[in-house]
Amino acid sequence: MENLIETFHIDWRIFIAQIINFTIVFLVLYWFAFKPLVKVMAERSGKIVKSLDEAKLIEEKLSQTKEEFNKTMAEAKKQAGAILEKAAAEADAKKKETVIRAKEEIGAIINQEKQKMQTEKAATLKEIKKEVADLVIAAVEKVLGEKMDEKKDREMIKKIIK
Amino acid sequence: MKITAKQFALSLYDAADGKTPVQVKAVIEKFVLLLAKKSQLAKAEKIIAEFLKIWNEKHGITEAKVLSAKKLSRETVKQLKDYIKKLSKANEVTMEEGVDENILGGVIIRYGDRILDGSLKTSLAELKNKMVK
Repeated sequence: MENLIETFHIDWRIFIAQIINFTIVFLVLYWFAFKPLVKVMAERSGKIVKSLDEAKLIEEKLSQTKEEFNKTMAEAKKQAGAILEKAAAEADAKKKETVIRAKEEIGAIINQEKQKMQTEKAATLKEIKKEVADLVIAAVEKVLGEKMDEKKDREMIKKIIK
Repeated sequence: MKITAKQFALSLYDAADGKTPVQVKAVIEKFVLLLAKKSQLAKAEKIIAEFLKIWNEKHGITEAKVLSAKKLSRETVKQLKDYIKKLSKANEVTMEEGVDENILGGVIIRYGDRILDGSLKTSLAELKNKMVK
């Protein structure tokens, strides 16, 4: 041991003074640098962990939200499909109803026109018949007026009272 | 109470029925005086018409009016009287004749409330109606 001390020329007083210096420096560094640094690091670590947790939570929530979104979308799609289907069915029904109504209206118009035509035809026919009858009767009256003599009149009266 | 023309006529008939012509004349004179007294002379025409109706009804007389296109011969008049007598079941028929060329031919007989239209004009009108229908 003494050889070692001699070899390196170690002076106990200087050595102790150095130890004290080192301890003082160490303590100063510990209190004013290392401890705040550790605290900051710890805080940062905590923040990072918290951030990670939050990120995880956000991710979970995002995932959950996405699921809900998908579910909602699926539901919405389903509802939209149902609405579209219903709308299509209603439109179809309305279309059919419109077609039926249009057919009915057309039928009614046709019938009305037919009836009108028949009425007009009947009126025209009646008018023609009347005209013909007037002419025929006028002609017959004229002929009979000329041909009817007392003898024929007497015979006619005889037939009436027979 | 107001007395109707028919009631007057009926009274006159009851008073005159079965009497001689002289008696009937007296009855009529009294009846006219009665009408004058009751201020009913205005009803005279109606009373006469009602009296004739009653008289004809009681004695089975039918009054008829016949309208023809030409003047009827005696034979035809007789035939028509017989026909009306048969139809109305009357004892006697008094017939008033009329001529209207517009009926063309045949006769229109009116008696009581009946009309028998056998005129050519009406037959032609019926024919015309059938043609138009």
